Amino acid sequence: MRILASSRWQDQRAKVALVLSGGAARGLAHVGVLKSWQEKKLPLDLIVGTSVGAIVGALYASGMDGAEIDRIIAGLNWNELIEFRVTPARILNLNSIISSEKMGDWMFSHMGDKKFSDLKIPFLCVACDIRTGEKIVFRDGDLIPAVRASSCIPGIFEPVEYRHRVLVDGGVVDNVPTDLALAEGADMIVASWTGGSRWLSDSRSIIAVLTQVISVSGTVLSRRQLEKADVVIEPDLRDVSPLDLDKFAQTSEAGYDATVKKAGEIEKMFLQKTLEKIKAAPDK
Amino acid sequence: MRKFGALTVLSALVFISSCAGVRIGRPSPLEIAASFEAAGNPDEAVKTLKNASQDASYKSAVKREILTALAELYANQKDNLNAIKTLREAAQTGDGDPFIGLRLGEMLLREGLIAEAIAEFTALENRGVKTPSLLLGLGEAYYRNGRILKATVYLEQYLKIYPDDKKAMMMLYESHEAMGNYPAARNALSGCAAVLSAKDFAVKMAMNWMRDGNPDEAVEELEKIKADFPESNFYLALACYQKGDLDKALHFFAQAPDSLADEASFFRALVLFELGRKAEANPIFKKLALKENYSRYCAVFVK
Repeated sequence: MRILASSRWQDQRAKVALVLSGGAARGLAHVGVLKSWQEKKLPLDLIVGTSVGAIVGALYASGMDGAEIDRIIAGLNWNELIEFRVTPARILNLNSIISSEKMGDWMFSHMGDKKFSDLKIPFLCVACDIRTGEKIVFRDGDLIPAVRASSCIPGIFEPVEYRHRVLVDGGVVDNVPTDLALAEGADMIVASWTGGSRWLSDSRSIIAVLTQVISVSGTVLSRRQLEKADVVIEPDLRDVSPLDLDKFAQTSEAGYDATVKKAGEIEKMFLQKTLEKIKAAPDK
Repeated sequence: MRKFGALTVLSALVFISSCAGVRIGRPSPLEIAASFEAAGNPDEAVKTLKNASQDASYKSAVKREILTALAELYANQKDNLNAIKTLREAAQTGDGDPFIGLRLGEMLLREGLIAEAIAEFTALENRGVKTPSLLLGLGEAYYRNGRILKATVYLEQYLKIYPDDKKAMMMLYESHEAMGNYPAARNALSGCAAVLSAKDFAVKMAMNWMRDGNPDEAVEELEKIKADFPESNFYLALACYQKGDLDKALHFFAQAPDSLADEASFFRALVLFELGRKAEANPIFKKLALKENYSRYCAVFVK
């Protein structure tokens, strides 16, 4: 049936969206998810991402393959990327702890000056306007400012000013934007969910507490969104905190394994949804 | 004096031999075990080596040999778990002999402990070992683990050394096929034609062509075996359906053998549905909806 879906039923086949959640370092499991997705030649028509899901999703949608994303993130020195902004002179008037400008530079070095319309796979990402609390959806224009805004954890990264708005991480308002995939006409939604709440580590550092707060609120918001997904890929990240950037290999592996386990179900669901479209098609 | 001298030599020999871990004048446990095995008594051979492995007087190199031989006996008896346990014990005796690691990886693979086999093989690879059996072990382990991209990398390296290994070639074919590298899969499939029956080869090749979006080639492949194998009608029907030749597809689905009756019925119903002959299609979907493999897909049409 897969053969027929990819040839005979090409015009009627189900449109598949992959929704990549936030989750800070845990969200890097999406790299393994996409690697496995690509290897298994699973169908993919739309990527929707929040936060780290927006970063990984944008890289993939721009045409980079899963193995290449894996390689560049494995080789990334996060300490070099992060520019600590806390100085004695600025401590009383602090906007954020970390600058996201270098993150933008890093994205530019890998994706160039791309626009949404340049992408190989349609892609959307979500941010939050911190002044109004609105969910802002990016689907056109420059890619990098949108992805930077979407992945801008409030209080940790400084907010991104873009299109007359002050934007922070999309995970604040929608950590698994399955509703966007539905609105875009996806027939089938697969969510890669890495933002599940976990116990707070022994560390009571400001970053650990802030990321945990975001994670807990994100989990509550996300439950309803996950119900809209046809298949949920949930990598086993019990030992990975949102700050464990140094556990990338393990995190990516967990994403890969979880996708391998769900590949059969994704295939079956895809065929079922395709048959539903064939049935719904008007008689010739 | 003479008697004293002879005793001294004997004592010295006993001392030296006990230090060296060898028993002068009597066969080694390996020789005894080998003779038991040759006489068709592997249980006694196991017993001999097991006892010897617990003898603390042996040096680690000798103990390692005994344990490795014992593990082979267990492996021959298909007692994989004891073979694994014994090889692990042998590995603890020191020197990191890559043979023990390789054998351990192979046994873990045989027992289906894939993740552990990968860990064992990877540890060897990280130490710079790059033997054909390691490449094959890693290729097979990743293949069985569903990591098909990694599997192809190792299997291709291995097949450069042993291009005639048909089992490895089949794994390579299946990995390429699963990854959608259809021309590479065809190449690998051609390489293992000798171990496949004419029917299996033609069907696999035809499916490959269909997956590659080329049903005409699939038909050509299937026509070669059509006279001898009625199963080919089902695959011919699929190829016709893919081409959009619906009447021919219906004709061939109707001629499918009993072994493929359910599959043929399902696709026949789909073709009828597409032709607008829903009254004919619906009873077929209803009937098949009761069968586990089709309930999910037929339910779409029965609803």
